[in-house]
Amino acid sequence: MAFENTIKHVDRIGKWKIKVGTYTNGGSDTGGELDTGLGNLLGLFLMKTGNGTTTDLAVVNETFPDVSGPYATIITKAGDDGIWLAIEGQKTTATTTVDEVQIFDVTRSSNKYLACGQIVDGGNGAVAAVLTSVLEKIDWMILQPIDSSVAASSPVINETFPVDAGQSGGITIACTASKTYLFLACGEKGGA
Amino acid sequence: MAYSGTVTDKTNLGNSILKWGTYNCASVSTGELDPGSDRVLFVFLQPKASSVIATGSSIDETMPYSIPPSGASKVTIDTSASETGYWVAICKP
Repeated sequence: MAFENTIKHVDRIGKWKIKVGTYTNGGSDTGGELDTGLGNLLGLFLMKTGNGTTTDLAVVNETFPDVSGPYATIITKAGDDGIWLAIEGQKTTATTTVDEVQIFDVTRSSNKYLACGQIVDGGNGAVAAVLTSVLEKIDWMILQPIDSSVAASSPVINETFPVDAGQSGGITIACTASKTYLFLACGEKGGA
Repeated sequence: MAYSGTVTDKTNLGNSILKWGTYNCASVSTGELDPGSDRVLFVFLQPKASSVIATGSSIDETMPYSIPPSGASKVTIDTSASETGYWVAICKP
């Protein structure tokens, strides 16, 4: 059985369109071209399913925002299956600055704001993420590795949410040195 | 010690609910995450720690997942030992 993916749910968060689905690998497959069914991808978040943890985390091998959708290359440990969340937004370009948060787009749900973007580590495996331009109080943040091969470790967040986005030092993230991560954060609107 | 978790808050999407909370696999490496909804479409686990974790967590269910009416089991998660963190889930109302 080759790599396959399905779409299980379609929804909207304000101006964003989101899709949720599954991906499956054959025993020796290590990912493939995931068909999100979306156009301008702001982000794609992967979570392993099945029994047991993994030492090789699934990654997305694309440059975001990915205007060439709907396909996005994912790389996994051989045989690992999982679920995915893809976000379609309006932003089409992004600058790349190390150790800074690059916000692709912000949208509003019923009572919260969500921001999607990327973080590029500058080489020391530690990022102080500052989101004050788009969020005030931050309820949560999730991180997805972008890379050309599976990730050997999970990026972590060393905060007790909710936090004030303007707190000294920003949101403390530990990650693999010089790697890039997609993020999705939720909170209350603030900043400019 | 054993697994514990919380539902912190939620927000409505078009046809679903976005929920979030915490998980704490105190001295264990698995737990039953209860998002407070019976039909779960997506779950993401974000570890909380001061340094990277050499393990990726897993959702040990066939997704989308319907929590059985008995409520005896929830969404089984597998993590590194004693891992704590945050979960985000998309559920049906």
